[in-house]
Amino acid sequence: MHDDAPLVAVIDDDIATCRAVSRLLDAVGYRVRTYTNPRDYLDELDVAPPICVLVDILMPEVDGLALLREMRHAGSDVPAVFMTGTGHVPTVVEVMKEGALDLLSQPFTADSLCAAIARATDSSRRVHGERRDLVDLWHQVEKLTPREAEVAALVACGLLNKHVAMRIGTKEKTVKVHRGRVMQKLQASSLAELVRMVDRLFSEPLPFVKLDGVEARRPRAADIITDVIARERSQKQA
Amino acid sequence: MSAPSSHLGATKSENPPLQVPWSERERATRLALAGELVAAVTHDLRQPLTAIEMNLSAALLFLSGAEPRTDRAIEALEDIFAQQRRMSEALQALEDLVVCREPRHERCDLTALAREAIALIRADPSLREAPIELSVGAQTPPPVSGDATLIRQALLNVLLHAIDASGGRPGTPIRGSITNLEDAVEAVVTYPKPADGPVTSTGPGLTLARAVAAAHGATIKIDDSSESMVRVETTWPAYAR
Repeated sequence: MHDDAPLVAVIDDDIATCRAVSRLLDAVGYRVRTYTNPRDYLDELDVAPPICVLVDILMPEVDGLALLREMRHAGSDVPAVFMTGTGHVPTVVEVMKEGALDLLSQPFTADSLCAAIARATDSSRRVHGERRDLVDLWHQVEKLTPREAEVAALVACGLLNKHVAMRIGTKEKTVKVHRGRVMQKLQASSLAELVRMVDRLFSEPLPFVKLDGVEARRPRAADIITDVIARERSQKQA
Repeated sequence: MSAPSSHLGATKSENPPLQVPWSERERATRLALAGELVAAVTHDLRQPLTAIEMNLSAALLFLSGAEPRTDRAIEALEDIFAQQRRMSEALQALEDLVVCREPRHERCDLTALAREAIALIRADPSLREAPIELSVGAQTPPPVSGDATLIRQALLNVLLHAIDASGGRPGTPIRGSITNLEDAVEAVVTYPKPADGPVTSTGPGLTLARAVAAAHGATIKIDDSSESMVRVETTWPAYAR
């Protein structure tokens, strides 16, 4: 087993199921960590996060649904695959509504388990890549001053420099300077690229994300950009 | 305590009609409850079935690699035996519930059976929030004599009756208690009185519990004389060598 093999967390109060599932995942090349108590998993949430979790729905104390909610509340967006031995429809619906990626009804086959874990792994890598891009963008945006953030948002809304100047009560020449600094600090090569960056900040208003167990917070400049865009759009609609 | 208002159980000698074809009658009422029990029993089969499938597939993968991992394959195969035994026990429990036969007379721990009945209820997602509290008296109760599967079933039915009858009134739990009476063990379930009046219907669940009690020389009494609570008392004879 390679140390860099994807890590899967298996959470089930039934020891035999935990052991059998982890044995199969080991045989197909995953690293596996098993938990018979969901609390133990939550305690280790920030220690080497897994690429996905395989969770039993029905467990004493903390059930699979409560675990998923606590994970999301703590900022963990690790994809979750659920196992159920009861098929209790309301619970299954709740779990899917909370964002479970897949649901395996026991008894399931090795192929269906491997397919679900592969889908979860792909999803995890895609989400991880998107989060990495967002955090990189935040790092660039946090270099902007509040005034530059305002200018970036107004320019991205399609306003000409002279209109931006009127909005923020300054001269067009000053706006040009701010705009140049925005493009430089954000490393945007064109207006189209700036618009894409600003749109991303607006469409993903997450206050923080966890990347490899490390928390990154949304910078103040990103909030300014979002507020300005929201204001401009509501004015246009009015 | 006031006198019980109804008397649901009796010893074999006091109630002969329950004695002769009791197993037939009991089987009929038990089948009526099959729907409630199937979920719990199939859950006990699904888990080992899944484990067997995973272990078998893992064993094949361990053995078919370029460098076979024989030790890991053996571990998986040994676990399959364990899961097969687990399935056999679950099937035996299922058979005990539905097959017509005379009850066994073994030493049974009534407290453990009550806890298992509560665990069965907790295994049902629609019932797991039912507020049940169990207390055991300071003096350890002696074992009782009977068929563990049937006694567990009777206790389960009393608890299900309490859940149904109380209608899940918030803030008032269903209380269970186990008390040592020296030559017997008393299991009492107390629940909030239904808002719409006294307990008039006992349902098939309590009918079955009564049949099981009668076959064990035990009694079941319902006392609904209190204004707010209903008390179901079951008394089981202690095991005698």
